[in-house]
Amino acid sequence: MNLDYLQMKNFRQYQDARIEFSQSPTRNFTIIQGVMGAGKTNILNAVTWCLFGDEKHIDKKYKGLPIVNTSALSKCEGKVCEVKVELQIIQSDGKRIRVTRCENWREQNSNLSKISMQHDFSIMRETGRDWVGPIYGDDAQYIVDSLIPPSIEEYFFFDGERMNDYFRENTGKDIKSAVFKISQLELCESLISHLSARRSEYLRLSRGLSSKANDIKMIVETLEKSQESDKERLKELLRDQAEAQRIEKEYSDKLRNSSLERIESLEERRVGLEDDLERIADDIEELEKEKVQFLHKNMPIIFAFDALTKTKSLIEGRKEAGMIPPPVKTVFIDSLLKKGKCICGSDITAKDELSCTRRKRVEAFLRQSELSEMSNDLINCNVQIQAMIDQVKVFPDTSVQLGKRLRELQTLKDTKNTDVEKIKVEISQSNAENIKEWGKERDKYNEKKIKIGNEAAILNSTIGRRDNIIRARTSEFTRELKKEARHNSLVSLMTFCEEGIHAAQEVRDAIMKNVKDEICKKTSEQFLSLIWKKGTYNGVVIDDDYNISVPHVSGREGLGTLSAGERQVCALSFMAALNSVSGFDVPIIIDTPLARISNEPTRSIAENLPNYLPNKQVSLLVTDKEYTPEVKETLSKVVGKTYIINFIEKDYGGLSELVFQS
Amino acid sequence: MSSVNRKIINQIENSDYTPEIKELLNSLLQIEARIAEDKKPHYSEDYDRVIKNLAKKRGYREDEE
Repeated sequence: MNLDYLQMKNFRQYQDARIEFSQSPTRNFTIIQGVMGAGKTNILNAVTWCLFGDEKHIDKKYKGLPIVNTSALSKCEGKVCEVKVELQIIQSDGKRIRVTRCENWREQNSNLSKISMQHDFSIMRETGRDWVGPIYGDDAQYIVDSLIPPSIEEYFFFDGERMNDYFRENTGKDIKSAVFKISQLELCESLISHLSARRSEYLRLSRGLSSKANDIKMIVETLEKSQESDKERLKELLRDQAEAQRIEKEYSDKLRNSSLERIESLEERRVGLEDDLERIADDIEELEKEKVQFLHKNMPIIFAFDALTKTKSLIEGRKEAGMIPPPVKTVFIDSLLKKGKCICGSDITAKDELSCTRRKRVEAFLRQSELSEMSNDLINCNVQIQAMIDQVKVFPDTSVQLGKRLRELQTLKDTKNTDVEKIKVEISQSNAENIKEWGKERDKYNEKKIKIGNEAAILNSTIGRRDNIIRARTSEFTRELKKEARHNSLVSLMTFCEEGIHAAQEVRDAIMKNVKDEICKKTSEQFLSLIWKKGTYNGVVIDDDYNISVPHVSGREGLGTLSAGERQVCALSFMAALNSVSGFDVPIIIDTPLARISNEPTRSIAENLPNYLPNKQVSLLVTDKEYTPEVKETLSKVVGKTYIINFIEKDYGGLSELVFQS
Repeated sequence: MSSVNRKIINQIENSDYTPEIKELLNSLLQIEARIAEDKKPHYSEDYDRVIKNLAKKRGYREDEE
C-alpha cells in the first residue's frame, strides 16, 4: 500500500498545499524538508487527522490553536472557511481510496467557532473503472481502520525525536506491549479470554443436566422383565383355570345325566345357584364402586359444610343490609372524576375550596364502590355455595340406600352359598359310589378353579399396577434422554471452545516467539550496521521478559551509557524491525529521523536505512540540519521526490507553502 | 474486510488444526478486530453465533440445547 497524494486546504500553516508521494519501487523515499517550526510535524498530523480525526503528534505550541489556518479565516471576513485534508491511498491491488475530512470554521466579532457539518468524513473507492461513494461516517471509518488499524498507527507514522524518548524510557513491559500491538496478539488474548467466558457459560448451563437416564433405563428393563414373566404366568393360570372349569363341567354333566332323578335335579340347581352367585358378585362389585364415587364427590363438601354455611350466612347478611351489590359502579364514579363534573352538575375539578371538598366526597364514594365491587364476586360465590349445600342434602338418604342394597346382596349371596354347600353335602352322601366320586372330583376342580381365579386376579392387578409404573418410568426416561441430549450438546460446545482456546494459545505463543526472535534479530543487525562505533557493541538482545539490552563487547550492559544519537539509532532499528515483521503493508512517515545524530553517523544511517525498509514507501520529514549535503547525496539513489517547506508568515498560526523541488 | 495481522492468519492456516477450529479462530479474530476498533463492548451473541454454527459441522444439534 502506498500514499498517492496529500492535499491540505486551510489546515494549520497550509492554505493550499499538495504532496505527491514517490511511487517508484526503487526511489521509494519522499523527502519533505523544512526548518524547525515550518510545519513538518503538521504534515504528519494532517495524515492522522484525515485518517482518524486525531492530530496524534500535535506540538504543545499548537494545542490551543484552532485547526483552521488563521490567515485564510481572516480573509473569509465572517463567512464560512473550510478546512479540508484529502489523502489518496493506492492499495496493493492498485485500486485507489480517497479519504477526505473537513471542518467548517467562522470568525465573528473576533470569536472563532466551528460549524457542525452533516458529513465531515467520507471516502471514495475505486472499483474497476468506476469510483464508488461517497461513503460516510462509521462505514467509511471502518474501511480506513481495516487498512491501518488505529491501535498500531504509531509504528508507521512516528516522530524521530519522541521515538528516542520512548526508547530511553522503555521497560520490558512497553516492549512487550509494542510486540503485542504490532503483531495484534492482543486480539488473540481477547479471543482466549472471551472464548473461556463462553466455555464457562456453557458449563453453567449444563449443570443440573447430568442425566439419570441409564439408572432409569435399568429399572424399566427390570420391570419389563418381571412384567413379561408375570404375563406368561397369567396365561398359564388362565389355561389351568379353563382346564379346571372344563373338568368341573364334565363331572357336573355326568352328575346331571346320572339317571338318578334327585341327583340330576340337585346338580341342575347347583349350576343355577353358581350362575346366580357370579351375577351377585358382579352386582356387589358395581355397587361398591358406586359407593366410593359417591363418597369422593360428597365428602369434601361435608367436611367444609360448617364453613360453607357460615360464609353463606355472612354474604346474605351483607346483602340484606344493602351493602352488596354496589349502589353505583366504580367505572361511573371514575368517569365523573375524570370529567371534573358531578352527576348533579357541580364542579369537582378541585380548582377552589368548595370544588375540592366536593371532589373529596366523590373520591370517598369511589373508594366505597371499589370495595363493594368485590361483593359481585361474593354474590357469585354464594350461588355456588348453595348448589353445594343442595347437593349434600341428599347424602344421608342416598348413603343409607346404598348400604341397604349392599347388605341385601350380601344376604342373598350368603343364602345361595349355603344352598350350594347343602347340595354338595347331599351329593357326597349319595349311596351310589360313582356319584360320590364324581361329586368329589367336581368339587375338587371347582375349588381349584376358584383358587387359580384368585391367584390370576391378584396377578392381573399386579400387572396393571406395574404397567402404570412402567409408563411413568418410561416418560421419566424420555425426559432424562432429552436432558442428556441437551447436556451432550453443551458438552460438545464446551469441547469445541476448549479446543479453540488451546489452538489460540498455541498460535499466540508461536507468534510471540517468532515475532520476538525476528524483531530481536533484525533490531540487532540494523543497530550494528547503523552504529558508527564499529566493534563496540555485540548487538541488541530482547530477553523472555522483553527487557532490551545492548551488551558491550566487554560483556557489560551498554544501554544506560548510549548517547542520545546512539539511542535514537537503537530505537530506529527497533521501529524498522517492528515494521518489517508487522505483517501490515503500510507506508512509513518519520518526522525528524536524524535530529539527535551528529554529522558523521548520519551518513552511515542514510546509507543503511533504505536496506532495512525494503519495498516500503518511506517519507522523511527532515530539517535542513538533518538533511545535510552528504545525507542528500547518500540518499539520492532512493529519493523519488523532494519538497521544501517555505515560511511565509511566522506569527500566530503561521503560514507556509510547499514547493516541489525535484 | 479483515484488519487482522496476516502473520496470525498464516499461522492458523499453516497449522494442523481441523477446518472447523481454523474457521472458528478466523471468525472470532474478525469479531475481536471489530470490537477493538469499534470499542464494541458486547461479544457474547457474536461468539455464540459463530461457535454454534461451526459446532453443527461437528454434530452439534441446536434444538437439543
